[in-house]
Amino acid sequence: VTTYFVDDGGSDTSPYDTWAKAATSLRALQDAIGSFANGDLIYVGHDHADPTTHTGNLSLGLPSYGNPVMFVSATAGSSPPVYAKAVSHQVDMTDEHWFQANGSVIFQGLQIRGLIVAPSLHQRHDYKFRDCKIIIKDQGQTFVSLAGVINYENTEFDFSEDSAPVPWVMLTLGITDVWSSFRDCKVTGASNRTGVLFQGNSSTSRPSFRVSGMDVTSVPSACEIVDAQRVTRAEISNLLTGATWVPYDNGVVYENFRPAGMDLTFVNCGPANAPTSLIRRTVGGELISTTDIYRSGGAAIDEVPFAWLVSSSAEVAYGREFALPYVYGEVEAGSKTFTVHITNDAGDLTEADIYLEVEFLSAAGEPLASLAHDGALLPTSSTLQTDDTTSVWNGTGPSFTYKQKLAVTATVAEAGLYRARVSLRKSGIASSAYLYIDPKVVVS
Amino acid sequence: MESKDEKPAKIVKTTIESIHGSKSRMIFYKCIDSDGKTHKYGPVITSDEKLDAESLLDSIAKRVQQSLDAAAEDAKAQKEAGELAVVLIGEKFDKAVSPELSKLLAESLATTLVSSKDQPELAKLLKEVEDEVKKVKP
Repeated sequence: VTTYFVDDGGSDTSPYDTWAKAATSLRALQDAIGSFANGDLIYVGHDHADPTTHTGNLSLGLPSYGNPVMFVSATAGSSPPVYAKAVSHQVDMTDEHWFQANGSVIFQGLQIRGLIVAPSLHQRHDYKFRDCKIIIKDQGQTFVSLAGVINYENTEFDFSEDSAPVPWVMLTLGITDVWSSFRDCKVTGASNRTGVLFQGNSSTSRPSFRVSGMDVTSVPSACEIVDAQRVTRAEISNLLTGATWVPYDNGVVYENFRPAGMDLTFVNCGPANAPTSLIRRTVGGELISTTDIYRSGGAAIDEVPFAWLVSSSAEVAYGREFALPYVYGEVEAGSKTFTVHITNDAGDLTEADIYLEVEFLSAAGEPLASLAHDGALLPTSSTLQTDDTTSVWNGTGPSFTYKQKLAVTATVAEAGLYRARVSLRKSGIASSAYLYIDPKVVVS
Repeated sequence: MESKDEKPAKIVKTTIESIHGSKSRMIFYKCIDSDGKTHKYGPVITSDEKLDAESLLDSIAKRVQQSLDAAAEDAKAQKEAGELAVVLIGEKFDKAVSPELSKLLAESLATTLVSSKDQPELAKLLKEVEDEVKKVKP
């Protein structure tokens, strides 16, 4: 393990092991040593300004496997080195050239201007950006990786220099079964953006990623957060948006593509804290929670009532259900009826269209669970779900013309947890059908 | 005759499909293209009570058109990658294995390669196939 220093005040003297002997740029260090070893630690002066006129990609020589190489911003001249976040562009690429990293690496506190590329084919490579600032230039994207896992923490993505924005984005990956993550990050200066924020680089190159805590208020309201057509799975929580936002771009995914497993979930995202906030979008359909429309006495979090608006795609059918999220609860032993209330404006729904599933403890003293449901056993069934003559629904938009109950009766053998969910088999239920589900499971 | 890959459909009409709520609205749109297909857009979620849902129609038509164009580009790229794979694999293995096996390999790899579209990956997979073929016919 070797320690190197990079700073524009250094003398560019081998072995670059003090601030005085520091390499005067990352490129100068890379050119001098050829390659880094596992665990190497490179301190970069916090006010170091990359002086290099890049005539080609800056490609770091990183080891293929093992512990990551660490690039850490530190107060220039400090001894021992003291961590300090960068105040200048420590890596400054031109539009034509890329900053390439092909191996496991950590960048901490660095400020990087330009496109970052990881042309790795190894899923074992980890790329971590902690407390960094990445200035997106006219390529409009920050990272391209074919396989590595990318983790961003406390990192700012500054789009203010993205003067010629294209509908091209900040995250592109090539392998769909690798999760990347963004934690406590923010997007700034994105007023010029015209495209979605998260996107794979083609419909066959769809990343999976998690976002937890990100300020995207600078992103114009016309820019969608996720391209549903070019992402496999995304779990996004605690996203702070402007007053108007679009969670995903449906694109033409329903018609031209069927990205198996495509599954987007948004939790507590929007312009204000909203624990009821949930959006789920799959190939089968979409679920969007709202506090504007709800059933009296129905589901509520922190005394704020809410309901789920549900629609289904053409991909849904008997045997290919669009299953809504599970709702968990506790139940005593005995014969119990589990009920969920629904409403829509298009017509009464049958047991073949929609049904309730309940899983409960079914053997005393054992962990065994049984599954009961009120769905039709034949796709041709025309038996209607039970009318609901008592519920009062509230809100603007729907007329609440048809109100029904989904109900399952089961003998619970052991007190404990149960879980229930609603599944749709009816395809093509549009938002204009105003199908709402009260996610409160009433047990009687 | 031009294929749809080369000339994507054009959005000809955009309307509001439904509006849900009042304080916090969910607005759904739908676009109809020149082939008569309907494309959903939304929801646009807004707590801006002054937002005029109608005012977004033009910008949404533009966004959906971009998606259509991008989908056409993707389809074209996939087709080209698949055709390239079939040609390369065919040239490489026709003489080494039976025509039936060559065809099977080519079709299988063409499906895989539509997601790679880059030559290093293509070369890597070709090498793997070559190794497999050697096992069958050294």
